Amino acid sequence: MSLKHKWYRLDNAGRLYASLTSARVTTVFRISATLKETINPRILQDSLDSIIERFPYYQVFLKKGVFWYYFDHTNKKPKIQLEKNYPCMNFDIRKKSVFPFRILYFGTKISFECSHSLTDGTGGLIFLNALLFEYLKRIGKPIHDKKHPLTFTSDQKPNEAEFEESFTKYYNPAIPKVKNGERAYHLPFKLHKKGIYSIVTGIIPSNQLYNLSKQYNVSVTEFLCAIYFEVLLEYSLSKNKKLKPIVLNIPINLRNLLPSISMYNFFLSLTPSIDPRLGTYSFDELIKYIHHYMQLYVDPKIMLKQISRNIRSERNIVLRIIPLFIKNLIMPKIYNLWAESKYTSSISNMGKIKLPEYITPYIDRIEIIPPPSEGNKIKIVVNSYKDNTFLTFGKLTNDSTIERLFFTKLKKMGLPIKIETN
Amino acid sequence: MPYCPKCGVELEYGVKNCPLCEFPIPDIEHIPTYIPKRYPKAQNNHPENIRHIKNTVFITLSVLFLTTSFLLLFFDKTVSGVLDWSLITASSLFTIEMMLIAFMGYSKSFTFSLSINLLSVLLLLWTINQNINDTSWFFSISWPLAVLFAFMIWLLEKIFRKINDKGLNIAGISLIAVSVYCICSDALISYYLIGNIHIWWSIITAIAILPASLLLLYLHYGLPDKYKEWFYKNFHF
Repeated sequence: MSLKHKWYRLDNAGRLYASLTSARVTTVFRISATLKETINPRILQDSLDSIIERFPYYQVFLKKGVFWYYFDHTNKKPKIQLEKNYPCMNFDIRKKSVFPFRILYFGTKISFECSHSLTDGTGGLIFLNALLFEYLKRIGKPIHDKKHPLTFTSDQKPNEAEFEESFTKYYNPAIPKVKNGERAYHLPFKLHKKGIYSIVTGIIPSNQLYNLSKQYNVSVTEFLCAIYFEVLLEYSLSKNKKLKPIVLNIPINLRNLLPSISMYNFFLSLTPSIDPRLGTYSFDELIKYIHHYMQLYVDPKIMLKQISRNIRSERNIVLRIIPLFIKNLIMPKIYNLWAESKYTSSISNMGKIKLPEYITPYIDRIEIIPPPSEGNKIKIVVNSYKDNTFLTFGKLTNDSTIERLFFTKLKKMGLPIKIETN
Repeated sequence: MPYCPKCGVELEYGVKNCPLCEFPIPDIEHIPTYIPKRYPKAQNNHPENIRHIKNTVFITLSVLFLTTSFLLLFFDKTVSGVLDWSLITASSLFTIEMMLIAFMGYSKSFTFSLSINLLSVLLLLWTINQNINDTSWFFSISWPLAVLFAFMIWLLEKIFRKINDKGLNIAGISLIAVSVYCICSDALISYYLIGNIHIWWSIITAIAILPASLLLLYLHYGLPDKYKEWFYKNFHF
């Protein structure tokens, strides 16, 4: 899309997320960077003002069309805010003149909170990276403007491909769509009051976690998924007479499989499933299942089938002609029925966050917080930075059974763990 | 660094209980003088947003009702010389305003909400009665029925609050309350119409309702577990 265009269509995932937004399903995720010194709000604002024009597709307000939302470009600039609420809370992006993301600061921490209607974690990381670069430069750090794939500095021009809606690009009507699964087991915990979100972060040395995974000949993602399956199975078997499949939602960054530098959403989810009705599972069986599942399904061809399903639904004429206000009423129900009811929880591994080596010395940590969701009361995001891996549980409940079982298992396997909460 | 003696995980300084297992964390020596906070003491932004919307709606409607009432009273007085039909409209709007106060949660006490609603309804009924020349039904029938209704609601609220194990018993008790209200209304109406108490239609209502309410109460409190199981087996869906 040309830069001359002053409005942008929402991508396939963003269209859904925009209609879902509520107090408990905020669709807002957070990426935080902790620096070594207290944040200077004035310089942070100047940095944001400077880089925002480099990201014209983020300098937008969400507007209502008759049938779909769209992003309208604005010349206004977002204002940074002091962090004072729970993480990832709803900031009502559907209101007039509210940016679909916000920059928060607290102590030594800068956070990028963003609605999934705008972009995914990869887009968010690139934006935060650019902001950090600009901020560090302005506070006088001796950093050099070196070329790095993640650094979008304010003096560069946006590439046309950054505007690309990659789901549509890879849509092929000839590819058959994937079938939907059955309803999954859901954790029966009592929800928090609206507006409250609990965060529990476990910090583990990356090399020890990596070595442990290698002992089982699997990746860190596969290892953690197997642990999570075991925890959910254990909990489900101890509490429920009527068993249902345990299904995990694992987001996959499609930019690693299909060429794209889109700054919009470009991810899809895999949903490995373990059915406790078939019998008991040993940890080795779980490891074997998840390893082979990932080998089989993290594949561009399989992903194209999912894209086919999603875009085909979006292009359905009946859905398209329904006015937006009706879509807003029915989308949350459809999402609950066809998406969230099909999986038990979500675990997303953002992998090793690599910042340019000239920025790294000034940034202590990068952490990511998953968006809250009423249907999946607990979600996990994993990311590693420098020598540590951060396992962040985002919970809409006070119950701590799941993370206790999870971290206790890792502890028993010999991993040192530090726990932090909000 | 503090550790949880039970799960063995490392914790932040100043934590009183382990976030995973709730085990009390003993105080340790050599706590650093400055411990940077990772998160602020979070405020819940949801109630603020909801309260803001609610206040806006309430104030807008209140101003609208007040303005309309004054305009109509003024118009009525100017045209007919006395306050006549406009009193009914103004009372109606006042009643709606009182209901808004109760249903929008501005009154924290249920009894207070019920009382102001009862008083405003009585005021409306009295105003209507005053504007209809040929009857005095307000004192004979309106206020006893309204007070009785409010009393039943108040009583039910007190009973429901006392019950910990809520289920089919709530439906059973509500049906009994409906039967009692029908019988009392029947008595009051018959006394108003014919001068003595003659209960008839409420008996039919009670005969229809009470067995159902007793069945619900029995299912909730009295049914043995093996029959509950049978019931579940045959009627589950």
